[in-house]
Amino acid sequence: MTTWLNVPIVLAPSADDRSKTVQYGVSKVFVERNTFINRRTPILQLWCHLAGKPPPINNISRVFEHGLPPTLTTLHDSVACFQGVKRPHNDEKDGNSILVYVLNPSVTIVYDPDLACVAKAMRVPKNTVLTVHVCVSDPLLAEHSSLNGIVTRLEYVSSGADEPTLPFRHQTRYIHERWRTQ
Amino acid sequence: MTHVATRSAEQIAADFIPTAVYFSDSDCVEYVNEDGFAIYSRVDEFLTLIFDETKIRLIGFKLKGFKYCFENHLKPLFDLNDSQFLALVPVIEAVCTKLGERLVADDERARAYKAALKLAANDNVRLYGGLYGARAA
Repeated sequence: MTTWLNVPIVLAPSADDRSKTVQYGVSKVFVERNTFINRRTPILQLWCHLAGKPPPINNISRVFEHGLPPTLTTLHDSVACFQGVKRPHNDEKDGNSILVYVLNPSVTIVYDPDLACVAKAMRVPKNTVLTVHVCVSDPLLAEHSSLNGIVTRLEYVSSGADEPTLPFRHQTRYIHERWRTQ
Repeated sequence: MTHVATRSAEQIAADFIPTAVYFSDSDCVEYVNEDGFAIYSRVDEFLTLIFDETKIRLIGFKLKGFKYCFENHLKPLFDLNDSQFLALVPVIEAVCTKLGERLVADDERARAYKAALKLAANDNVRLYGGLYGARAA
């Protein structure tokens, strides 16, 4: 797998105790399926918003040195952690084991090639937050005992006007609120 | 290192292929028709619509809990095996049928399903290789 597709293991605050750090791998399925259709934006966003590093692609320094640089975050910058996605998820009727971390990057990165670089910075639309889904019961975890879960999805969702840092209707959207910073 | 960088550059510059794919570890089928910023808007436990940065233009949809739905409702209905492609219009229609009166009673939800159906029909959205998303021959 080429370097930019090899997103490193990420560190995160535990859902059980925010003061403790856990390790999550990034889903190979997520990367491979997106690569299969040449969809690069989610992978570029994994680098910036989970790994906290610019993606290792040609001339990426231009994106960071000119204009608005994409916000570099890790899951330690999460403002909240929820659990349970209220929908069937493989053998779970309500996706009860899925964790959802919420990040608030102000500038993101998208695939938008020009002669210098294939990526471009983009301001995140108002009232939009980034959610990161983590599967803690993935069968692959047995092979990687140092990991506490697998990041399976990265999705921007709308936030509410009254709580702009959290997903819209988070009270009913998820089963449990594990913690939040504010 | 040069070789890796060159391969990486070729791969990252290839044309986007608007095709539905199944993500096994998040158990969902996703279709988007462009490789750009995407905002996910939950409709219900089965459907999420995907919009561009304007939050107005529909660029895709996500069908969730697909394994359960496929195994229990779709595989017998369509007599599919994993080597065939699955057109997603009849899949969404089958879910609409299952929802029945609940969909009729909820205008917003019904509009969302109609929007997904229209996009799936207009773009002729198919999931290749059954659940596993292998590229069609």
